[in-house]
Amino acid sequence: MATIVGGFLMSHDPLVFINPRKVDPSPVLAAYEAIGERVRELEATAAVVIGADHYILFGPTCLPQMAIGIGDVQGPVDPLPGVDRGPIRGNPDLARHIMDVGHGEGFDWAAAKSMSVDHSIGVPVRRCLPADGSVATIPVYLAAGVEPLIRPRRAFDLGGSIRRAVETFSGSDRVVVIGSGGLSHWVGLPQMGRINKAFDRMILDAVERGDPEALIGLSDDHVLENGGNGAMEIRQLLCAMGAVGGAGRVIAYEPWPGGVTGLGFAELGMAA
Amino acid sequence: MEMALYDITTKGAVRKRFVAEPREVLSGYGLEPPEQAMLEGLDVPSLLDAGVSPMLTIGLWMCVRGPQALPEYLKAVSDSRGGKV
Repeated sequence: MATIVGGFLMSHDPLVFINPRKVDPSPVLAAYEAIGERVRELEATAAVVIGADHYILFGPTCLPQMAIGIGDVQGPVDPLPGVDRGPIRGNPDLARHIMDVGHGEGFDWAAAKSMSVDHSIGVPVRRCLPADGSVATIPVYLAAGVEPLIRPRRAFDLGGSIRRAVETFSGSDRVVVIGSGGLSHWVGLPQMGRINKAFDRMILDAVERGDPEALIGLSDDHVLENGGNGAMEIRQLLCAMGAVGGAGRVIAYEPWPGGVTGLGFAELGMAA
Repeated sequence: MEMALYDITTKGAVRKRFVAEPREVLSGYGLEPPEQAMLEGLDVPSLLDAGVSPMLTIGLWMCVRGPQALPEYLKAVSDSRGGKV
């Protein structure tokens, strides 16, 4: 039987790699490396990576609430210096099982038989998973960047469905779940560049307490005002928290001056 | 407008045509003249004020002006009233 052996939360700011202000990114890159080391220590064989589309994969003609790649995976489609591109090893059997279990529980996954991921999944995969493909990727997208957004409660509950699916999968995979989303950031808006450290601390405190309700209870208006449109990605964090279940440990927090995002990195403990 | 912006920002062939002949490309999207003018002029603050997704306004800017042009984008949108998710 497969099992979830760990979980992680991380940001995916592309400016870390584009670096237009030429600021030393090494503290941020070290956080990705620290997570990569933990993935290896956990002897993971698969990673469910939960990202947010940025109007790159999904266009105005179809905006899914939740989508999963059940076949070929490749990317990231958006080129970033220092982030490899190309085929990504997937695990179609496990991905399809997660989808099937979800459908049985009332989660209407959209499925991609071929999925080209953007940086929200590409950065975690390329910076935190072994380059040899020994940890397969199951890509998951939740609507957090473009309206209509998935409800935070729904994102958290979906994490529970992912956990139940992994635990009923016939394979012997050791699975980590990665929630890829930023803390405070205003993408494309006039406030872009603002980082709200108090808001970020509040989010990370809730992660450390293992308190998803504190995040689920935040209204979108409150998040938009205090954390920006990019902080709607707490949905990605909540989904991972729902899958893994335990209190977290902050690995790093970097309000990195070269970018526009409060960059948070944490490891999730397993539920007791 | 979002359909046009999505095509420009995600489809390389459309983007190249837009840079070379913006009016010709935009003529296929049924836009009103003021909408077409906003897109032709990369008028990102007006696009935000019109309710276009900020993912697309910054995407348009980065595609056309280049990924190092973030500071210029921030200056351009500084007078916008808002935008949305």
